[in-house]
Amino acid sequence: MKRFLYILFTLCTLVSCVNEDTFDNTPEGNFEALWQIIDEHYCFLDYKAKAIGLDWNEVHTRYRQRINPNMNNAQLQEVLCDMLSELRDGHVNLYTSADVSRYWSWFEDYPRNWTQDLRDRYLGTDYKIAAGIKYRIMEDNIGLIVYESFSSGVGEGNLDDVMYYLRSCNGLIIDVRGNSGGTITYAERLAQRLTNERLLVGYTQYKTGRGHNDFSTPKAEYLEPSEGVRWQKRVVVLQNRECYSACNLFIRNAHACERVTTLGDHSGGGSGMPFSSELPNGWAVRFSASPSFDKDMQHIEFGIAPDIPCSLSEEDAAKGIDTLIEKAREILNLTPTLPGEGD
Amino acid sequence: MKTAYIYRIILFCITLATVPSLQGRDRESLHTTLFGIGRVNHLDTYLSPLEYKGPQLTYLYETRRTLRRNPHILFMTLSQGDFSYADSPAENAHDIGGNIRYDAGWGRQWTNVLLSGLDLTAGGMIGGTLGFLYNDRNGNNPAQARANFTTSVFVRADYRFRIKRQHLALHYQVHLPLLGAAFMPQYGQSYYDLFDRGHYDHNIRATHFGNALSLRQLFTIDIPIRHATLSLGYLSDLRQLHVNDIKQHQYSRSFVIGYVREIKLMRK
Repeated sequence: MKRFLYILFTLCTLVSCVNEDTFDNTPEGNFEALWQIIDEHYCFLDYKAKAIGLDWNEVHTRYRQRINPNMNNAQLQEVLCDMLSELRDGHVNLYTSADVSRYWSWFEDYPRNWTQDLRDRYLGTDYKIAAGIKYRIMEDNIGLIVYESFSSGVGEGNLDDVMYYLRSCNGLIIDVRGNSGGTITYAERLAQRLTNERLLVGYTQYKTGRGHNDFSTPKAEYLEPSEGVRWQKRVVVLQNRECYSACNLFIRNAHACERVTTLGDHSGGGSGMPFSSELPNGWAVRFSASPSFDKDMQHIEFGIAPDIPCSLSEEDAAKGIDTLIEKAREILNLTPTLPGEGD
Repeated sequence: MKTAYIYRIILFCITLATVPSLQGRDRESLHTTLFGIGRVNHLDTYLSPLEYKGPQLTYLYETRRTLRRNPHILFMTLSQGDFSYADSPAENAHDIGGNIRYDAGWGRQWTNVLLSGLDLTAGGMIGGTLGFLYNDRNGNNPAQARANFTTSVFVRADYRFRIKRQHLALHYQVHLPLLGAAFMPQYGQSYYDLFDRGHYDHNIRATHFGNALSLRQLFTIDIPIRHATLSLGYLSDLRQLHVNDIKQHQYSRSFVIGYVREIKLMRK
């Protein structure tokens, strides 16, 4: 009995605490905390080292020199935002009570290739709204679906009704220009209407440890055909640089479907699912935590090229014409079905 | 007529219950109910690298009785529930946490050890915990589920004594988990990936001293007041886990107050 108690006492005294490294709530401490969060959790450090020459250790050295103990919050945020911008990732943000630091060059540095006014002209005033989807049948019997944000939900019942309403159309345009993402489920739900087969659309990974290369084995992602009403004719998906995150995944999935042609500009990218963390001073940070790939295991962090590049011309825009929609109509009217398929 | 019929049934039941008890010695089952209030310190690096601190409410229900066939063997159960609301260091984010935990086990009891009235018990328990921790600011990693199974050892000391004419009892118990299993997502794995996509990846991990060193201690004093027994005490519950490169701890210390009931167990 005494021996047992002795052993137990010894074990109790050996209790070691499970703690995390802590940083002071000072400019230096917050800088180090942010750098370490990215160093240990961000999922593209190795990829971006190869793709854009990012050296995260060198970034530390360079930006640490700009930190001093007397700087105020605005100055600290500016330095931290500049440091995060080195990642060139729209999923990386620093949230303070005064501002949201962001990197938006992935679309701000490029032509938008759409305007709200032009799209509204094509939608008219008699379009229908099914949850997050606006849709109508245009004069040449081409269906037009506009999905402005995957943050707005859409149900299977909504999609059944939309597809059924558009069933007599010769082709379908899905316009996701300006859609910067939202919920992956809604993006998948829409893409599932475009295939009759189970398709390999990509792979996903997540970090398994703090090292830059600590990743899980890639898991295949499949697009399952919807059990509801599915679209059986050709589809043109309109994309631009603002198509980001969940919308980027929608484009990846749609691109794998046989009847789908993508048209427009590169999508914006954003293939890392963002996680959240925080600094000692209470500022929240968002960062990409797990990457998605296309079906060839290629990164789509910097976007997906369209099948047919197309830009909005200023001349057309001045005439009230959306170059991309007109090009899509032309394609669909010429070949509403794939070769070998009857109409 | 109807009243007489009911009376006969009650009498029959009392007879059934009483006759066997008269054939042997009655046993006591002690039921202790405690309510606690204290402070908690949370860390879960899946949600945040920072420690959150705040108030915690605790409920404890303990039963213990000796076995009929061997009065030196104590059977004990311990049910615990807790709920906490903790602040980040900057107090601009919050964690809401809750756990329910149940342990049951047996121990060898030595009575009147070293001095009269001191009983010592040592034994083992099996049990499990279900719980959650929710962070109100995070996006795709807003919460962490808790689920574990543990085998643990415990030691308890019960000392009955008297000050003047007042009977008192001191109780101390310490629980130390040895081996078990716990649920944990991978380091950067989202719950969407785990449950929506069904990507299981070593999410049930073996736990042991090296990665889940935890300790629960409960100290109480029982004070009989008329026909009731008041119980006051202190609960220290230190839980830790470090698997899949994710660190968790929940350190709580609570003042507890409650009551003890003695239930006579009748047997043949």
